[in-house]
Amino acid sequence: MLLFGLAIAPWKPLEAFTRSVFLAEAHGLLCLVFPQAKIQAESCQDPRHALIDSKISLSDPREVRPDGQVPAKVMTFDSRSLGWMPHAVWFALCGATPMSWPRRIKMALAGLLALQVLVGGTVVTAVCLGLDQDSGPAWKVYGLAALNHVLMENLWISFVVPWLLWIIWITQQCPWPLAFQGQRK
Amino acid sequence: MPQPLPKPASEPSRNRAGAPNPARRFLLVFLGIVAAYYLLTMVPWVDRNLVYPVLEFTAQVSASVLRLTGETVTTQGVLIQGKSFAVAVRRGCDPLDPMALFAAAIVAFPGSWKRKAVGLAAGSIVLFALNVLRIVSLYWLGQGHARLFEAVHQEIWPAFFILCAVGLWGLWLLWIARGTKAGHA
Repeated sequence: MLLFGLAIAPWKPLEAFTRSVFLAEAHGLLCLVFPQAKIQAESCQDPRHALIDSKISLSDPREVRPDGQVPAKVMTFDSRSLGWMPHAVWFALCGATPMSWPRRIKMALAGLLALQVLVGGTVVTAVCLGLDQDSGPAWKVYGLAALNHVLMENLWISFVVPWLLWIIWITQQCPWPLAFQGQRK
Repeated sequence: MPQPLPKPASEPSRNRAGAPNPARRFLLVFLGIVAAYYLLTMVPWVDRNLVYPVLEFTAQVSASVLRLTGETVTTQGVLIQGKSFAVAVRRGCDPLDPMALFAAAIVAFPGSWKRKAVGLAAGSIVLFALNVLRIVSLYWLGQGHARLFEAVHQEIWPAFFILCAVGLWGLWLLWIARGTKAGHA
């Protein structure tokens, strides 16, 4: 909890850094997923929602309106909860787990990769849902909404996933369950 | 001073009888239950008929506790309404994800079903009570400290809550380990 407390302390430079990493990753990933679209990822402020700090807009330069404007889909995100929080939990778990430094670093890096998949998946799901919810096929919207419900709307997921990764790592690295091998009755 | 974890066990993935090793079996069952839980929560029917009643019940119990402390509150569905402040118990404000994590870890671990049932019942009651405490504390905090409310709501309580769920599982492990030792003595 002490390490986690340090990681979530309200340090402006850290907040700015994590937000810029989130925006850069989201931008890079969305450019890969939607190569035709023009994507803008920038920080923002929403007076109605204090936590919203990032804005992603997508537009297709080929879809020009008669008035010459290009419609854009704008989505807002809370980069701290979605992006930084799972990392903070993960780094705290890596720091608190008693093991040698080489193994700790290996664990941290492996988890970091897995968390990028989580954060990337969350952003892509939200963006795909935003794009498809009005005109996409029903089955696709249903699937994306369900996934978005778990990844984006559920506060717990940012905390559960690092713990899952930790349990996977510990189970693979430590033979403790063997101690209870004879328990089943 | 914490002792480093032992080196990875070099036991084969299957023992001589051909059964998968306990660590791998634990991990598979644990991840299977967690995945099944998240797949279920994606189904709107489950959300409406199973998750929502839990949220409503949590709101009612939290409001009752608040009334015991002298607050004048009413409930309407998942909303706890006070004189100047209201909280909505939404997805993420329930204790279901940590409970699922806890239950999966208990069910997946080798042990007698009697002890698993006791662990599940006791742990669920403790986690539910902890969640009520969380909502009551957030209600108090939200009345005068909006900024602190967000940090505690989004970051500190969830992290502490998951830690408690894992800690409860650790206590259960100690309990069954003692039972095993007493049984062998």
